[in-house]
Amino acid sequence: MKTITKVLIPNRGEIACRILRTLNRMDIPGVIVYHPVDADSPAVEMALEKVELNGATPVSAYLDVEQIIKACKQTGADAVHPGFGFLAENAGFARRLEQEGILFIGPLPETIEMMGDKVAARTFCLENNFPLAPSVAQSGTDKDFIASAKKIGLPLLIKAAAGGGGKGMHIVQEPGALEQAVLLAKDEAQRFFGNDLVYAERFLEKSRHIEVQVLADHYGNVIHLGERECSIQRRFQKIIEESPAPALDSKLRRRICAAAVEITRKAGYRNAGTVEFILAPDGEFFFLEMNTRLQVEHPVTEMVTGLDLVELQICIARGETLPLTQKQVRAKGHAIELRLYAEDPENDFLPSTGQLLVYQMPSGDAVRVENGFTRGMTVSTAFDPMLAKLIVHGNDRTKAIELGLKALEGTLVLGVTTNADYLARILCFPAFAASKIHTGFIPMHAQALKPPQLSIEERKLLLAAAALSSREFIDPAFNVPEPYAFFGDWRN
Amino acid sequence: MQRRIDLLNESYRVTVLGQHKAQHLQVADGLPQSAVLTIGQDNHSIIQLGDDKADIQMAVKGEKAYIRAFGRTFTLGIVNPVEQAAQDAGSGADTALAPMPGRVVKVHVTVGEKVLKGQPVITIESMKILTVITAPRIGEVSQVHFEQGKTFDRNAPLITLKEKEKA
Amino acid sequence: MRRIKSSIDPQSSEFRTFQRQNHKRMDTLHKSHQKARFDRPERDIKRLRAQKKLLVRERIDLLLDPGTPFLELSTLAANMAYDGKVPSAGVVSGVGIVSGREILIMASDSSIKGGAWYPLTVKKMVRTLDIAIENHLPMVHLVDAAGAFLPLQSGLFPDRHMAGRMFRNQCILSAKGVKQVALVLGHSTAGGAYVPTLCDYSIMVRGTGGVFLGGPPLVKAATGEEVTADELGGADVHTRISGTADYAVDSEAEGLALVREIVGTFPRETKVAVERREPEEPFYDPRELYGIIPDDVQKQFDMIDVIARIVDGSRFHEFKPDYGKTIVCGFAFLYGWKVGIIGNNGVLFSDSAQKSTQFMQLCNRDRVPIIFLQNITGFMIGKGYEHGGITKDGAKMLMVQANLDVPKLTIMTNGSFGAGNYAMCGRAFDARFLFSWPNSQISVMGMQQAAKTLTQIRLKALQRQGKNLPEEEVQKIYDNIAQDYLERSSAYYSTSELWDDGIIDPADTRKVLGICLSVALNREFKETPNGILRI
Repeated sequence: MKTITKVLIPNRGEIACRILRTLNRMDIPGVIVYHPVDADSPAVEMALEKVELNGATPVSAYLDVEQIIKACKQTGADAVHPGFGFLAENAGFARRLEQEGILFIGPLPETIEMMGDKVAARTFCLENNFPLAPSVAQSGTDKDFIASAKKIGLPLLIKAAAGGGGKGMHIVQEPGALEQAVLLAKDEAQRFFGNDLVYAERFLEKSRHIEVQVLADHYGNVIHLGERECSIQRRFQKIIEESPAPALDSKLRRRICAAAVEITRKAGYRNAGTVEFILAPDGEFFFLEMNTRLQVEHPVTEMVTGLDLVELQICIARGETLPLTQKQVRAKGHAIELRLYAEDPENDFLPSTGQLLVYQMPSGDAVRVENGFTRGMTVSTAFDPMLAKLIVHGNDRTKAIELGLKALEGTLVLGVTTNADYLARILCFPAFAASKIHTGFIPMHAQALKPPQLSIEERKLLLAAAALSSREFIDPAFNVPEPYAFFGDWRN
Repeated sequence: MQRRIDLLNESYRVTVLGQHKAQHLQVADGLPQSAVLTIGQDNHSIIQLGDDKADIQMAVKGEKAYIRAFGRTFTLGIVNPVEQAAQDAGSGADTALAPMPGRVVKVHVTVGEKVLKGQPVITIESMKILTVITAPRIGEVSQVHFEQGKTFDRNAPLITLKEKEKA
Repeated sequence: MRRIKSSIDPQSSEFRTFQRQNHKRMDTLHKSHQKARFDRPERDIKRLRAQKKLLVRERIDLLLDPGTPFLELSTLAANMAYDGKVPSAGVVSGVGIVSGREILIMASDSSIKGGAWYPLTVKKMVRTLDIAIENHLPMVHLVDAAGAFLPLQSGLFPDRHMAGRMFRNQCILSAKGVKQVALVLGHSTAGGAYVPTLCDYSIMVRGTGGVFLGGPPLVKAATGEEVTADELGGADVHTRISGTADYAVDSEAEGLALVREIVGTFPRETKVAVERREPEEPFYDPRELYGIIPDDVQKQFDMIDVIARIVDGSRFHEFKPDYGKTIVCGFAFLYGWKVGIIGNNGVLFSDSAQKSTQFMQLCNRDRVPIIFLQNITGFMIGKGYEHGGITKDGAKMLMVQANLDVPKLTIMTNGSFGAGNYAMCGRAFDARFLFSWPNSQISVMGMQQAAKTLTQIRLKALQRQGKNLPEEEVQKIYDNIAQDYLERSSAYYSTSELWDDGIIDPADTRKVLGICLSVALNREFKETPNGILRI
């Protein structure tokens, strides 16, 4: 059994706040490291201990292993919770911590490495007969790769071997676009993940993204906490997640969750993780990837099971056995998470920047808000544009949707364009309410999800409001003097 | 006073006449209508234009007004006439603008280099997407506004070409 | 204040006859204005477009605040000169509102001979600058002129009130603290180069703007140096190297927006502190003037009826109504400002001269601006009147009028003949603004008398040569002389020669005077000593 006296969080935004919250509840002191650009963020405000990091760019500061270790030593932190992103799936970081005798709250470095290498992960699945979508890894020249990729059949996805999280993926619909996509994907892979290895995988249209939350202790006990559906995606990134997956045959559910547990067990996995699957329309499901970290959408599982995943992670890291058996896991009701992004859905979801002049999150018991920003903060392109997560939980899905809409109504962000109204339109969309969802949902309904046209009167009202609150228009310094004011545009 | 206001990628010529509490607003060449803005608490306001009325939530900073109304959120930009005229005259086909905020990944040309229309001049990255910006027309590069690694906002000028020779 | 009770009957046949005639006059005036303002050869418009230039009135529209008026002065200048080929004398001037401020605009019309300066062009520009000085009106110059029209250079260059006076006026304006902004949208050559350079703020448009004492052809001829206009004195040269101009812009639109921005930083002129009330539209419709103004200059009308259709609420307090009845004096309000009005109702006698002299003193002491409504054939002549001292009384009227400290505004409503013109504040007497109605006439004496005299002179000369003409020939000579005389006394001729600041629609008199009054109140009334009255 190990003790944890202080946890350092090399992360930012809403997840840093969320981890701190659990630490506070568990009476374990927490330390935040941060780049100066985040100095005003809620996480830094919340933390009792904080250490500033240097970095040429903000992102590089959160990736600076040595600085982080130095901060641990400086503050006496004996454990690190990496959150998600940044160094959360960096095996090298986990090893370094191990070397320094600092506990890494997460799986073993070897597991991180294997699952982090998407090609190695697929090899693992193949060897153990876990279901896999047709794919081919890169070997030999680019030309060879392109030829074998073609053989898988279109449409297909070119993905970074060292990638994940929906980033650095390119979809190819026509054979002519294949070469360009491979080149671009390799370039991006190099840039974002440090190496340019890619693989090609068959792209199944209208499939559903189902993932299973798993927990494993150091004693071989593995359980699952139910599945999550994350099919509502734009550019391969999730914006709405829910648990349980709607309209899922219970037998199929059991099979998927069982497969997840099997994979976790076979991989010798420890701590919390998520196994992601693609569920094809014909009911076949395939392993997509395993995320060896806490996921952004973990709150929906927490709402449905009543468990605190961060707490469980810490307990497991301390060497405790799982506090509950599979039978003891109870799922109640339906939870939906809405990701509030600083982007413009009407402009191809391009990220939006600016200052949060008004930033009101919904309040009350009906909604859980995981928030990384406050009013007055500036949203820049330095980081991922997620502002906050709104998580609601109801007795059933209909109620959850209702609560979700209410939460969005209570959300007001002015100064930066967000997808709040867009999320509301999705929740109201008949196909969503009828659970007719799949990963192609957003592109398929792109036209229907466009906002209603503004009438001329509505446009004029907006223009009037803007004009009458602007000095440019109404500064009395420019008033037309008398008697000219009586003449209109008279000419002699 | 008259200014251009941009809303949803369209420009409107808006004129406000009259004094405080007795103002009229005219959009393009339409009929002027009486306009009253009543500012309430908590960013709430009521805008009345002629017989139409709406409850809105609004925040204003500089020349941008952010308004939530009719179930949507809008950004309106008031354009300064000197800047607008400069934009209309100068940029146009001589400057490539950033389609989104982001960071410069690589500059492919140098000042003085002659480029063809459609030739890649700069690669930018935003939200993990790489975009290649191409030259708007044939010409000579006169200015590269941002160097590798620098960030910029949407519509920022990235590359300017030397002005075409007058006919 | 009591309202005038006008007894004009709009249904009477005289009213209708006059109305028909005046509608025709208005039609002519309107058409003449349109022609002078907008008729240009297609070729010239094309040339400007190719140079990326806007037309002068397009520029002015962009300069002025939306929904505001513009009082254009002397639109018909040079309409009877230079074969009518130089409408508005090639320059547009007028009073308008820019960024909420009262501004006097002077803009070259480069669609006419490239904006070249004719003698009347220079006269109009000097007059415009005189207006600026007299009223402390800030100015915006839109410069786009090719230079002097060489064939007529002797009529625009050497004399005291010719071209040099323009630049002298600019200097005086500057010393008086009156702001000037110049936007150079074309060439500003030779003396013209001083126009923007003497201004407080000078903006140049790249590519089209050029300021140089000698243009490229002259430079080549003088020193053999070959240089382009841009290299010689373009926007970048003067804003980056020589410092002769202050801003360089890429387009006319940007330049005009910049002028607006600069003017927007000026403080609003403080007006002379004269009382102001709520304005009130006249009780009688100003358009009824069309039925009052006669179709013959010799026909009389009651000036009271005219006043009733100009002033606030048609209210008028007549001063000394029973004395000197051939002149009307009284107080009224115009757009809320108190004004004194002096108008003719017949020939001037001693008593009318005395009454108006007394009234002018009253106005002067009490700082009330005066409006002169001219309809005067002259002073009464004859032995009785001379012995009665009419010349002396007329002289007193002139002496007081000429030395008035309050602003004067004059409207030629009908006839303006001989000494009456002087006494009633004609052009020579520095009215801040002087406008003519289209029916008005101005000459040293009435046409009939003059024509008769001139015919006699011609006949005498012919007789000395031994020629004796039959009656029809004599009639022909008389008719020719009369026609010529009438032409040269018409409002159109007067405005062509810039003897007035423009012909106005009588129904617009109220608005015009309102603007002029506002302008006039920008300059403090300085108290000056009075001259000696030969009592």
